[in-house]
Amino acid sequence: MSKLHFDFQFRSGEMSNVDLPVEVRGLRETTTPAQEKQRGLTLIQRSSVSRSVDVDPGVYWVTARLPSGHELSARVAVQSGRDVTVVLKPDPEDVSSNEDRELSHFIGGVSLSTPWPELDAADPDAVWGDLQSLGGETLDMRLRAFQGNLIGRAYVEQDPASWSHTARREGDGVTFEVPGRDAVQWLQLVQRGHPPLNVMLPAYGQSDCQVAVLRRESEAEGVPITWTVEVYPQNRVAHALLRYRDRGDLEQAAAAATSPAMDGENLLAGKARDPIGAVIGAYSLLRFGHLDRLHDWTGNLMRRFPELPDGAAIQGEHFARLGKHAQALDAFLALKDRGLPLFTDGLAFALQRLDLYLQATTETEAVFSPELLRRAGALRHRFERWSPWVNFGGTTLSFTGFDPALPDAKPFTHELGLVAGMDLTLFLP
Amino acid sequence: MLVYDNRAAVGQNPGLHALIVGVSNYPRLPSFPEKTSLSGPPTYGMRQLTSTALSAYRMYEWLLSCRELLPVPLATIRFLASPSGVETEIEARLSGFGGAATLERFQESAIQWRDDAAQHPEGVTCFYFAGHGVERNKGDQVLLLEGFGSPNAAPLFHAVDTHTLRYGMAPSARRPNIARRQLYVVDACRMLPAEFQKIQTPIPTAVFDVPLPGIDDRRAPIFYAAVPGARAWAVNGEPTFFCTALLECLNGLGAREPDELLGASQWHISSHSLASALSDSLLRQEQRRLQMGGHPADRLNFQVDGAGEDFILTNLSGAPVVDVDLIIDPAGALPHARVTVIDDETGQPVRTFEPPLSPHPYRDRLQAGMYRVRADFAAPVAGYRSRERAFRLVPPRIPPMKVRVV
Repeated sequence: MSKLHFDFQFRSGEMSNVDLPVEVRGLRETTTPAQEKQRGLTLIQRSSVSRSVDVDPGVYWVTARLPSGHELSARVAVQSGRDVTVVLKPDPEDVSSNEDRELSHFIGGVSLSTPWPELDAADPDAVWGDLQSLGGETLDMRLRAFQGNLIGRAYVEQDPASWSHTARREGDGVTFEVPGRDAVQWLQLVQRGHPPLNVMLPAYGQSDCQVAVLRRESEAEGVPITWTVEVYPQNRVAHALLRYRDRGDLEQAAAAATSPAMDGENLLAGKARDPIGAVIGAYSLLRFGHLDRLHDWTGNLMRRFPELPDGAAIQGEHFARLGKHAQALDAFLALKDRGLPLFTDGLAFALQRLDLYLQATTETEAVFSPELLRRAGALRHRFERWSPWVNFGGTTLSFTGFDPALPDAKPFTHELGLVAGMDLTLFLP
Repeated sequence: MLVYDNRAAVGQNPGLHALIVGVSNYPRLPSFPEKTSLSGPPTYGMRQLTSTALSAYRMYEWLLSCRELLPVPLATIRFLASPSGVETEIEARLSGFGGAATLERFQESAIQWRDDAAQHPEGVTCFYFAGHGVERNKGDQVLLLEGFGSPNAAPLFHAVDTHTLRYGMAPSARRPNIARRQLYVVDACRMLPAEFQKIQTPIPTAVFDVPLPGIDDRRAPIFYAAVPGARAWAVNGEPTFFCTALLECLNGLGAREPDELLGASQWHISSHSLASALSDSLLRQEQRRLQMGGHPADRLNFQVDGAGEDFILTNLSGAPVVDVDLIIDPAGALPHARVTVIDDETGQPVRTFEPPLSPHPYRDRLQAGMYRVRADFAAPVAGYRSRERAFRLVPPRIPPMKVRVV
């Protein structure tokens, strides 16, 4: 046996150190539909860049598919007893022109998908017709910051100025850092003519996140420029995992979910805890049915971070998958005191399970007390305030509405100058 | 209605049980170009369709065509369709095939389908629905059946929802042996009618009883043809864009090599590879939709919910053949470069081109797999050097085989 080690070689150390999935293929006996045996290329190992694999002597093809869709590949011959390091690097044609932007070039931002459907989906002629603007385009927008529990109406508007000292221009947008707190945080992007967009931030406890506010040029003629938001969890593998899922690349997402960098027990242990990385990992393990990998650390996630809504949603869904429905409902009901989950997975799990438990059958009546069912019905009813306005097509929870406690899809038509909040256009040329 | 029954041959062994439903003919809805009525029962701006029953039939044909390649023997197909006149003209076999996609028949077929699926945990189920759909709350999905729009029924009486369908298929004390591999495909819009936000949310009919699940160890992805709040699209008299993309993936675009980890000893399509390929295939359908005048903001998209662990959907009869462009960069080297394409698995050349490679780029068709491309110069040419590059040609993304010789 020999070992295959892997080495990413990108321009930036940041990108080179992201522990992304790799696949190893070799020649094996395969079967044709006529049941004939022949030798052919076969996937024999899935691993990640940080994990070496044992292989027999032979020729192997190693590939890594990046969240952007770029594929790195290398062919390697392995001799008996000799370990080999496989270097994976992008083709010269694919290299990012800017080292600083390499991460977003090969991983990209987390999708919030069509945040302003009303204007975009409308006939552009109805908006602009043959009119031409004789002035410059308006770039005005405001960014508001909130924290707290929306469901319990225990939230406050924050001064987003604390974010501005990290703000920097990047391409056609502005990025800044949001430090984690022991509270749910979200931002609201306000611009005239569009429903204000509320975006839950994947920052909690010691997990920070990065936010990018970007110009978005519509493909439709005549539709004015809008702004959109991308969020980047601090944990790069978690970030890549969300991107794989956004792209529908389930093979790589499933592989990334089992990477050592996403091990929930490790992420929650020690001083440098990463609850957001653990949350993203847990949602993915639930989505990919790897219940055995969740062990009992979903309980730790719920207990150790008492303000984190996603801990309750994850614990609830984990119990439900195990057929422990009374404990599952108990966990979901904790959302009332914690607030809206940061990720759409959490809200989707809660809605589906509450619907299931509220279907009156003799079985549910035997498992749940009338009081539990009453509380379940009340929580389900509260969720209905947000669920019509939530974008379930994105991974990070987002919804529209100027008053985050009373969401709607009404475009903002007032003067932006009257809105408190950060004006990010100040950072643009 | 059962249109394929191989249960006697399958016996006690695991089998694949399919329920396929396509609704185009909604007698209570106006047809094109009639305007939707503002009086009478709410129809949420919907009209009759002319593509979805045909889509269901194409799925039925695909399943039959690959029955020798499925991971378990094909046991049953239940098929319900309410086709339009346009579709029966195109596909005469649709006329009277199966049964009409009414609520009663849907419930009857679904219960029988579940009973069959409950016979063996190693079994596989397949559910496909094409027709009108709505959401009650964002994130769920209601399927509208033939009687939708009836003035004598609640708004969603002739409708069922996917959550009940999927939860009702979960392992439970009553059905401990239900098939653990379940594929769901919903080819319908996911718009949330504005009316639903003004009234108490209407309730669809329960397709069957839903016992509380036991340990849910299924692999049961639902592929939705639209993301929440968005539309799915089709062209009059053709299978829907999503169905076209789906079939393209199932016929080879979602192909993967044999996979020891998955237990696949041949080329195959898996639930995860299907999801990965659909993005690319839908992109091609999107280009076509745009060429036909579709609005860019209504972009085709899809969503997979409850993906679960990967599993084999079907094997393939061999490695698919893919189109690939062969490019020498810069083109100035073409008069001097001898180009060889080598099958990297066998080490044997499969193509040799004496200079100049023409036309350029050279469009070739090769079996999917690993290749090396070598560009050689018989005599030294200033500024150019021989070069060899490896390529993995596996769908859906086939990069050009571009060799840079400077």
